[in-house]
Amino acid sequence: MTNNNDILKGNYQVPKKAQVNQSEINRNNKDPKEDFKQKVLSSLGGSMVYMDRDKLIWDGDKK
Amino acid sequence: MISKEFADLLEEIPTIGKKHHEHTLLAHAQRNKPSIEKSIKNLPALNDDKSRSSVIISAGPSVHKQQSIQKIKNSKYNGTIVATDGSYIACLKQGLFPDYVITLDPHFSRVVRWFGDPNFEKHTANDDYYDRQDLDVEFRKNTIAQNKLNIDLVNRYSKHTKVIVCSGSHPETVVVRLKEAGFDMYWWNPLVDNPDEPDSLTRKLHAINPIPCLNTGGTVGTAAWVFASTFLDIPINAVVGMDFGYYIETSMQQTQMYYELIEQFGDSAELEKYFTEFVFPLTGERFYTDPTYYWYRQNFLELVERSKNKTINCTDAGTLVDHRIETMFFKDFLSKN
Repeated sequence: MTNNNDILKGNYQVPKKAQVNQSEINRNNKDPKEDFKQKVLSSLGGSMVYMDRDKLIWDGDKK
Repeated sequence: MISKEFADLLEEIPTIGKKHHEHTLLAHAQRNKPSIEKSIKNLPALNDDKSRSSVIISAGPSVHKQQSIQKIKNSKYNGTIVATDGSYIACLKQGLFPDYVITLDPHFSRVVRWFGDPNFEKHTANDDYYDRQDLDVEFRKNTIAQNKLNIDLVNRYSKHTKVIVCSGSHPETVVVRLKEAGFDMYWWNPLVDNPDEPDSLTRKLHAINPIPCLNTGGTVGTAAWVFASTFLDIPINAVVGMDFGYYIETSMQQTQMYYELIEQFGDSAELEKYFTEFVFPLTGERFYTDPTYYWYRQNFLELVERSKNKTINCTDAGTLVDHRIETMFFKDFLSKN
């Protein structure tokens, strides 16, 4: 059985190897979960980052 | 009981939130620096009545349904009143001048609308944000004419209220508008992470503008409560309009994450995993919440636990039901205070 790869063979050398732009690929193939998170965030109203659960107020280090 | 999907999303919110806002907060703090003449440390001391108790007015849907602002107007209440930016115009429309209005969110076009937006048409094009917020329903049917009335109302009455403005507020929209309206402005930084950590964003913000940092718990309502109960050190603090959720009859389409959830999960059976229900004990009414409101609610309750002053939920509705907070009908609070 013959397949296309046996028939279609190049008879010349490509002068320059194609460069793959990885960052472009990454940009076009966004992780859907990450994309979702970003959309969730942009939909939040009145939202603010918040990480600290200990201090209610802080006004610099005590001198 | 919350689903696993709901819990997983909750865990992710703080990290994506910090990444999303970090650059904006630093840039705004830098651009606001020349405008920061007074911080909240420069506020005049409270008189006896004002220092006894406070009411914090958030912009949840119950403010209208429960007529919370009207209840204050009808009472002889003379304690401190702190309005969030989203509830401020509703206060003015009912003839109530809050002592303070607090603003937090750094968004360039959405927040300025709470003070009447001089660029209303430009800012509202292609943005259905207000249609998806179950806050002040008046803002859903907001028109150019209504916005013009809001501008006039704020310009006329701004002198009655001090604005408590975040260093992360948008310098070219919100801050410009506050100045133009003639507000007496007092600034603060958001406490967004542990300042003891070497790479703390809070520490960087404080280095740019050395003014007090208030924990926001993620929302302007929580920031308003921290301001009253901790910064002003008021011993009894009632919160109204602090729903952290939706009335059961609100359709899922009107919730803040609906489009994102539909896009991700498709059908409504999957969607239900991202909502959870509560019964308000004083009335038996049912409410539901989504992961973001639930996260804000958790943050608020954890901060309430750390506060030495008393907090009472007088929302008369919503999901803020927990052993860490007392719940009381607002009319009863007003008659006792």
